[in-house]
Amino acid sequence: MLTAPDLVVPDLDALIGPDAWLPGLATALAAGLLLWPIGSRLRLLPTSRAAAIALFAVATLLIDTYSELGADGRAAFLLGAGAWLAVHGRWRAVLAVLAAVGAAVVSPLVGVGVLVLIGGLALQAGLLRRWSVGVRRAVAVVALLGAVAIALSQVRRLGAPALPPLLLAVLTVWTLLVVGLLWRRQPWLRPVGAAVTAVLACAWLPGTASASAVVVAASAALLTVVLVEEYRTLLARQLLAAAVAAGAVALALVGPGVGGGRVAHVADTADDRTGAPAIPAGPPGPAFATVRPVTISIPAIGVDGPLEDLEADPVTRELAAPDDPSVAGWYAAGVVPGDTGPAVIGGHVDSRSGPGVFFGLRRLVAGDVVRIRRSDGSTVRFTVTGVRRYPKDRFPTDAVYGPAPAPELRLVTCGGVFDRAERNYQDNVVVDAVLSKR
Amino acid sequence: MGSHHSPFRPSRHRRTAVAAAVLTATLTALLVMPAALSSAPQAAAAAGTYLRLAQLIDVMPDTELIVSSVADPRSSVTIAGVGYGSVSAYRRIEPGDYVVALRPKGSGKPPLVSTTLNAMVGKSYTLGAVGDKKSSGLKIFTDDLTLPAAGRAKVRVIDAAPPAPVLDVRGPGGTPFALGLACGAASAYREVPAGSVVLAAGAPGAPATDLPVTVAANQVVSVVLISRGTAISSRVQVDAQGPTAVPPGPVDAGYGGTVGERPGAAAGAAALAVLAAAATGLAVRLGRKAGGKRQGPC
Repeated sequence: MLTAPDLVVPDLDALIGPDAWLPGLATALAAGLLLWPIGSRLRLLPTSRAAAIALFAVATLLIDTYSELGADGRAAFLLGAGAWLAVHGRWRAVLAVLAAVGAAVVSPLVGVGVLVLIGGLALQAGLLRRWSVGVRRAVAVVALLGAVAIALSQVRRLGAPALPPLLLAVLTVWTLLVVGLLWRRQPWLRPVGAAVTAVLACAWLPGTASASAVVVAASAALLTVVLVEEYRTLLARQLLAAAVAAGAVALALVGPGVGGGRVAHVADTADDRTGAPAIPAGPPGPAFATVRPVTISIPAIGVDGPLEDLEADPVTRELAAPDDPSVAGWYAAGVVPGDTGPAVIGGHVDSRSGPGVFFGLRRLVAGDVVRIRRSDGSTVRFTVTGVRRYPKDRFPTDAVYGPAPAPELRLVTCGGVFDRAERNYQDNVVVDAVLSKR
Repeated sequence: MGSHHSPFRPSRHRRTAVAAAVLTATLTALLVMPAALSSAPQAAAAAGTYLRLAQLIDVMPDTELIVSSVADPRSSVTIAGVGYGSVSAYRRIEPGDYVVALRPKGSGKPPLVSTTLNAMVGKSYTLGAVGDKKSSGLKIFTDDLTLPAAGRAKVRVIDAAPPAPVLDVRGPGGTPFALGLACGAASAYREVPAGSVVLAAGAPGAPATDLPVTVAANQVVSVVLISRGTAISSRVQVDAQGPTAVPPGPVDAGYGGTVGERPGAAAGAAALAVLAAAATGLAVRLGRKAGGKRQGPC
């Protein structure tokens, strides 16, 4: 059963998440197939429609490969259905609007694109044609403000962008190139281009789902073939050159020493910007602690629960994880959180059946707060400075257990690829935090 | 919508197909690239960056240390002065460039001495106020935050005992610990077994004073040598500490239950790959057919 504290938080995903819905990739597949009738509506050649599907399918595979939670095609499928329905007839238009609303519910960031599209169409008289300019402008302003509000509300909800910067950069280059080239000569496509660009920008924000990237991939694939059809020889060549350039940039980025991984170390951000925060000096940790931590709370990922004691395995001497995957534990032979030195807290990323207490740990970002209540009644507050992932065979014992001059906190769980044969994850995710308030 | 339709040209389909094939190939190349993205970052011992003041002369008036960020001069930290031979508590600062200045306490007077500090992520620094009656200086000591071997601690000696220009410090059995240590200087860190260690310090050739030091495993300690007249004594300051027992290796904290959270992911990916291949094939075939059909005199 799913007993992890972060699932107790009311969440749309819990209602219509992957468990209750078809898997995200199946809907992505359906969205790809929908590109054919949409291409037909746009009177694209069969060649181009097939090309668009091929592009989309490959882009979605890429997204699925590099996204930790996988590609989610639900929003793209709903938007595709909406686009297909949108032309001809009032009832179909109503269904199209419902499909767009559904897409926005599945992935709120897609709602940003829909609102930008509505705003753009209103400004361009593609919508509300019989109304006055003033009304259309007012509608556009409301829609665009709504888009900004949704985008802001989604920032940092989940912690980190769904995709690694490299893939986002490739998607961005591809999309901006196509939209930019279509912008001048194809005014009717401008609201679409603006909407796709808005969703693309949102995909860079921390806390985005991969659904928005799949939507951008579908739109960009379709716009690419529109571009190639409209501009034929000259631009087709430019497109080829750009694709090659994008590939070269991507290869350069993947080169050694660049990037630093999906979970990069983030520089410390002060919670108190007026000056360097003071460290309440921690008392030196006694060899045998009489005080112990009682509860842990990480609001950013919905963790709030008790702490059990962890000890080293008598045989392997490695730190044993808690027995209960839904409960985090404290390395009791180590440092008490709030005392000088690194206190270590471990928790499972998942059980055999679902998320564990530290499932969301990898989504923490610098500045997130961790509160520990201690048995002496005090509560200590730590601020996350970085989230890092290490292969287990290169576990940074030095960085996790090494001496620290002040109270610090390390949160440890599993991550990376799950080795099914070994029933074991290949990496450890380590969150570093510093004391910010006693 | 799509009202901008141009008449066919012979090469139209073919170019579309070529463009699509190249883009597809580029993206596929990205797909099969090794996941070199998960390279482990460099390990830094501490998560924060820390700074403290050590008072290493006894002739200075009451002073305080002003730490000003170069990037944001308005944000500055004041560390109150401490007694001779003592160190302040650590203050956490953002990594970056700083100007640190020592000035008489509570005064707007110009600083007695100042220096610059490039504070790195995960490092900790002790700023020593050194010198004599005539001139004072600030010395930057970088504290060692690396893990000692199991059951051991790291110890360094800071010489703040002025009468002798240099001191010899020896460990148990007369083993050299730091020979010819100048006043105002710090020795390198040396690892010692946890427990009590007796260091002996004295001017070269002169009788040495025994200085007992007690350290715990995984502790980093500075022994500050101070003098009252010609007598040498010491103050033991903890630079950093960690768990006395360090479990080696990683933590196994997952059973893979969320890996199955994407049921059918493999089948879906395979289906998408088939779709991509089929669509590319179709595009190329349609392009070739249309291109071929239209080639010729027209």
